[in-house]
Amino acid sequence: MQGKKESENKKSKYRKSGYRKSGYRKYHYVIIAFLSAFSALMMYPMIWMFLTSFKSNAEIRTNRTKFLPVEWTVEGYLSAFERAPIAGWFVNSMFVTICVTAAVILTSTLIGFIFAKYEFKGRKLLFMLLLATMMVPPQVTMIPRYLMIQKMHLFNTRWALIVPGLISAFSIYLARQFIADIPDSLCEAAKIDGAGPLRIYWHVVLPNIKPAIGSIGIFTAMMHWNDYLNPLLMLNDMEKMTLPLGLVIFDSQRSTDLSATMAAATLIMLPMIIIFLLFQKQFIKGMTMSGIK
Amino acid sequence: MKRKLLNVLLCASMAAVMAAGCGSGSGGGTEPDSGDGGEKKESSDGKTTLTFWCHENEPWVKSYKEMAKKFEDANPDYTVEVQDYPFKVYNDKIQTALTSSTAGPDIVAVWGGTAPSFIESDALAEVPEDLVKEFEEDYMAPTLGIYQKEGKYYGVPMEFNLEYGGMIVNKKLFDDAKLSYPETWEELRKISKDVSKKNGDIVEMKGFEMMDGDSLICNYLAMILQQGGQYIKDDNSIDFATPEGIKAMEEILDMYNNGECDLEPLTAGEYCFNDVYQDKGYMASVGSWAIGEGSGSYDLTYGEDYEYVPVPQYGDEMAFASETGWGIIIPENGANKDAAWEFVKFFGEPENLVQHNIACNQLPPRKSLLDSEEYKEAMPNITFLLDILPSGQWMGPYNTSDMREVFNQMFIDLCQSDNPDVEGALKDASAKITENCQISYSMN
Amino acid sequence: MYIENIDVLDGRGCGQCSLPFLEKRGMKNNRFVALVLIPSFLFLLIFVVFPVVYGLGISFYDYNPANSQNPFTGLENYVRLIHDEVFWLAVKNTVVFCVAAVTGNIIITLFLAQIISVLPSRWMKTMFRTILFIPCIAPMVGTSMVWKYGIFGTDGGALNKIAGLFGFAPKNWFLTTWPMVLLIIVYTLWADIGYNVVLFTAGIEGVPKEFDEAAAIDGAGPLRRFLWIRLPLMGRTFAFVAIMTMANYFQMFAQFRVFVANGGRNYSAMVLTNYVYKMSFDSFDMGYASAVAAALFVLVFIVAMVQNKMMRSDWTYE
Repeated sequence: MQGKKESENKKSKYRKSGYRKSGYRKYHYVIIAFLSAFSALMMYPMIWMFLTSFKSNAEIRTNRTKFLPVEWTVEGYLSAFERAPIAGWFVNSMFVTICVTAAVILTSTLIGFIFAKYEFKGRKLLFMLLLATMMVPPQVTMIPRYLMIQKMHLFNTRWALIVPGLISAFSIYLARQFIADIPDSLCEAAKIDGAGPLRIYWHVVLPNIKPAIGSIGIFTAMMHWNDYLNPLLMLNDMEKMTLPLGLVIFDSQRSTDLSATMAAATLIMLPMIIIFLLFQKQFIKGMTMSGIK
Repeated sequence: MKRKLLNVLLCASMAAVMAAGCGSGSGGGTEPDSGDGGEKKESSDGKTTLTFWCHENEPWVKSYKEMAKKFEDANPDYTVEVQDYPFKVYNDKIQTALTSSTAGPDIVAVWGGTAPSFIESDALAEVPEDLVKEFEEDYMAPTLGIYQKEGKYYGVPMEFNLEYGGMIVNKKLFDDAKLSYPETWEELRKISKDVSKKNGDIVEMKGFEMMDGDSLICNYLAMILQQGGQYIKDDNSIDFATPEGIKAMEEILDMYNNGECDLEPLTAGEYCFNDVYQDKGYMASVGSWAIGEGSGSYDLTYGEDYEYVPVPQYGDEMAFASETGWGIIIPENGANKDAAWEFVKFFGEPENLVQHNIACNQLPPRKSLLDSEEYKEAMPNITFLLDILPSGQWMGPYNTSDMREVFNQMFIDLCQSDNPDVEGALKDASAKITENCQISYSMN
Repeated sequence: MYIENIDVLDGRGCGQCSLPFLEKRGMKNNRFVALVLIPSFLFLLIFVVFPVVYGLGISFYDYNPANSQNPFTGLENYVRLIHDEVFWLAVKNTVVFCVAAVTGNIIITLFLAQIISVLPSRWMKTMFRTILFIPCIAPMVGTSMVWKYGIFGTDGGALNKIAGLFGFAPKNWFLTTWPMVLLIIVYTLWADIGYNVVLFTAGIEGVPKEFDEAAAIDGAGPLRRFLWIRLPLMGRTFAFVAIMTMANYFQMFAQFRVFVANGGRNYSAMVLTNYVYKMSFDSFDMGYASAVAAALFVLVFIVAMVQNKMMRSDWTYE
């Protein structure tokens, strides 16, 4: 690498000589055109789903080449609501996601706080152990977990999805990284003022890691809202299902009713996509932080 | 400190291994059957409540409820509570209930194909002798097959399951083409060849269809048997690679290669008859239960848009093989087993059973019902099936869904290869099915 | 979420196995620490450690929860594993899928992140990132279902429609072997690139512009600048993304369940996760399924080791 000064010099030189134009700018239109085409391609399946949900089954069968519905109809939606307890699935998904997310935010910040700011014997070992639990893929433990949940009499209840998700090693890790960046002096000062650990946690730690909380929350919520494996293992009753599992069951029961299946799929995806579009800045920031920290 | 912790962890793991060992060694099933099971469930008015489990299916559940009501009227001491569950999860529900120490349902309706996993676990009550006698006299063999274990019976058939013999035909298409329904196999093949239209892997207009998960093997086995052949040997092993088996397979492959039907239903896991209802096919072999789908799911009218007619016989002699259909089992851990058997006997009485069969669009399992006027009057469209029922044999002591998986894979391979070795493929499939799909316990 | 490689999580010293940042001193309050940590670790013991051990235990039995007898069979399940063709196919398919999909993912996302990062305006960057991210928001079972009918469908799927424009006859893709695997990879890339694009854009923007610009003056083309300047400088992001993606792809399950529940034509698309599920919950052969799960664990472990070795080679700032 060249000396800093020299590079400064060069920097001013190329600015004058119009480096930017010669570097990337001349490609801008190409890049924008390419990205637009690529984005259209990326959006196609979603748009297809949306449009198909407004076609009647007869139209899907006969007018295969048409992209837009010839006649817009909500038949599929009516059929979906009639044949499946979608509203109930929605409530279940909401309930599980909110419970788990709230619990994970609490447990991970609390445990992360301890690993970041407290000195105790075996700290390193315990933290390694914690990280090691992340190495176990869920499919490896799914049979024992299924049997355990049955023995615990949680099988086929929402708690079967909530209880095992209460602590997340990854979230603890993330929280710890953020809390470690809070200056020790802040905690020490609070301690000298006579604050107990919970007060420090509440008044010093939490206000200082708001972005991290957002990041953990988004991550956890998305994972549980979209989870398919656990509900598949742990739930039996139609009314108790969550949206992703419900959709699969719905499809397997009425595979020839494509309009209703796509209507159900749209109903399941739309709320999340709308929330994402509304809060996309926070979403992307949260995601980015989970990677950079 | 660290070492100590490690030790603790190790000990915990050891304990866990042992716990797992014990747990799996003795299994959930050995938990004492008594538990709550000993106590009778009695409602406040002193009546005994029987719980009846079935899967979600509107007309069926209705019929079960009617049967329950009739039983209550005849036996005022009992109330029967019918509970239904989605089919997708139904077997898991039964599985869990059977192994639980607390009493679950008293009576359970099961599909024959899933019965072996329950029978195997010794969690079912044996059928009483008087019923067994009725079995031997009046029930047709295919309806009983799967409910046996070591010479004893563990389930009571409710229906004769038949996936062969009838087909849904698209009346409009036949009328428009000025064709009449085929009477012989040759006519069927000719119509099928003439009307079908192929485009790549899609046959846009299908002639005669039978290549779906249910129908393919049933038609194939019937074609073997009708030539006077046999696919199951005395030691219960399977052999498709007989001259009859090869001939039948070549005939079916010919249909595929002629572009009379495609493999879409097999790969998508759908039924062929949907194509006929969607005006994409002329004929589809399927059990009589599919008649209801036409009016139910597609708003079509029987007799106007579609009809259900016999599949012309392939060989000289009528013959076919059939799986065991829906039946009733009684869990060993049930609280009121005697009362439960009373209900089952009541259910099986010809005059009661026939009404259930009519309500559910089923074929009767009892020989004495084959010429029931009541049945024929209520089900005029499928009376032709009653005539062939006695020619059926039981498919055999196999897990038929595993068997289908192997068979269908082999079939797809044969269809896809340019130069198929039919005999070799049939031999391989026979060996695989014999080895992997046989029911693990002995039937007699 | 699970992770194969602990090192990458080590905040500062990437590649050093010790966790030096834990060395610093902090507050003391053993009662508070114990009050929080004991229940927490007990929880992890019950829901993570115990199931691993329990699963290993089950793999030595002929285990079906519905049976009254579940005999101890020793290593029989593992002997069966060695002779099971489908299992080895599943191992091969899993590895092929992961390597191909992860490689594809990283190349595509790096490329996209790079070209997005040179876009002139902020809102354009945000817009494209948002669009690419939308598939990540939706549940994979849902989008798989959409692809099954809308893209791969024999009659009316986009793929066959496009093929039709070029005069090809429609094809039933679910009848194919490796093309089906390829299609599943394409689907997975579609469903998952958004996340890595976001991470890489952040990584690229974190690299000081001066380095890049200096190289430009020296006459390096865009590609060479990217490969030799930016990529090494965002080493940590790269390592994180590579390891997370690999870890994530090993546990892909939903799309296999939707597209090829039985493993596809001749098991050409059978992967280990689906095989474990199929064996345990379709066939209720939980003893054998546990042996397969143990094999999956070992495989993940080996991959973590290999990755660990590879990532150690100097992906750090100077």
